[in-house]
Amino acid sequence: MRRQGIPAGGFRDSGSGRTELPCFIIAQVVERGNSNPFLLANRRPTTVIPIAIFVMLSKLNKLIADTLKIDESLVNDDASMQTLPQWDSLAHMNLVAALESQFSVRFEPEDLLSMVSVQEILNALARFGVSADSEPS
Amino acid sequence: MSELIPVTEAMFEEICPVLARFNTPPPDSPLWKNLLTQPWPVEEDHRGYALMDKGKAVGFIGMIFARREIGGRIEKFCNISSIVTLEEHRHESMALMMPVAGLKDYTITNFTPTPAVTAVFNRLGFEELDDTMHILLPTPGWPKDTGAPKGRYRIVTHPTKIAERLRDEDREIVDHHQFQNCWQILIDGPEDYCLVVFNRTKGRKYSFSFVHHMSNPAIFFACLNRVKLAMALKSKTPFIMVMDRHVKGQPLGRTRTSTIKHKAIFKSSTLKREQIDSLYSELILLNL
Repeated sequence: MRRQGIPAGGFRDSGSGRTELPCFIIAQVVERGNSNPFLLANRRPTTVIPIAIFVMLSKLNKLIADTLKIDESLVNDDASMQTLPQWDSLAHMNLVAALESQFSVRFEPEDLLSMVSVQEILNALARFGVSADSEPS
Repeated sequence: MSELIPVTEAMFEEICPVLARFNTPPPDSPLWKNLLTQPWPVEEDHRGYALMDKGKAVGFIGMIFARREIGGRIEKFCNISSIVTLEEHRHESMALMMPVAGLKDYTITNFTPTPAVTAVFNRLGFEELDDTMHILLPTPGWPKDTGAPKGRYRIVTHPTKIAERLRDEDREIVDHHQFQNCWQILIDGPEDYCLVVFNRTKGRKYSFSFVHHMSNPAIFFACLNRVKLAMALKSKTPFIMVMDRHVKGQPLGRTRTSTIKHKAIFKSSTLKREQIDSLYSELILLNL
């Protein structure tokens, strides 16, 4: 899955000039493999997610990449202990410590043992009310 | 996704393939069966958990349960041992630790944790149990005042005679530790005694008598010369290994002291580290 950033302010329509979009739906287009490819040329985003969530995911993926000492391009929303060999038990505990420091939370034992994927981490953070709307410290 | 199921005594054959990943004891050693068929009564109905993938064991965590009277209270113990996951299921290793997080009101120990297990268990509230061991060298020394009650002490090695002198809770310990290469001696005095439980363990170069339990360190060290001889005759090795937390403040005589590389860890809300020994553990069941 590859992301492409779109400048704030909206899309430029070659026919009628600059097209302004409301800020809260300025979107990050996500290209997902072979399905629903984003057709930049037609400026028709087929999958959009709010920019705030993109920022959250980007920060999380960067934190994971930094902790595992791997290239950020290897970390995506489907990343887990199963897909990344560098994500072993020791690395997992370092990651938990980094997440707790970054988001000022303290995970319960049951949570930290089940947070073995990006999705599970997001779920665990959401239980603390850490979501796209909140700023990490 | 694999499934975590409790392991009973009847499931030994099913978990053998994962236990074969360990080298000590050798995979074909009959000692492995001790992990599931402990010779003391327990209230728990399982001996650990297995990670099962399509009916095949791909991971295991051993749990050795015991009830002991310590300081006048019945304490629940769980010794964690033999944590293993097959390489292709490594990503599910965290699931094996879940039952540990669920143990409440237990004194939990792990005497042989890997660095990865230590990192996880530290986060679950475990602490270091001991980081120093002493090798008592086979050289005689002058008797020293250890604070033991004055009087004549005799060393008793015959099992029947040992049992006759013991309090109930100590007799239970002896009954539960009748294993090959595991011995008991009794240092019997006018006011009190010291029960010593030890086995023979192999180091890098030498073998040692590893002391798992000494009920009265003051008496042990008051009679050290004779104790060394009695233990050497049983285990056929002149060197004795004791953990620092059991012998603090005692005159050890000639020793070699060293730091343990892989430190044992524990978690308890009721007991201090000095009250925790290595009886009822894999160290004895697997003769490590």
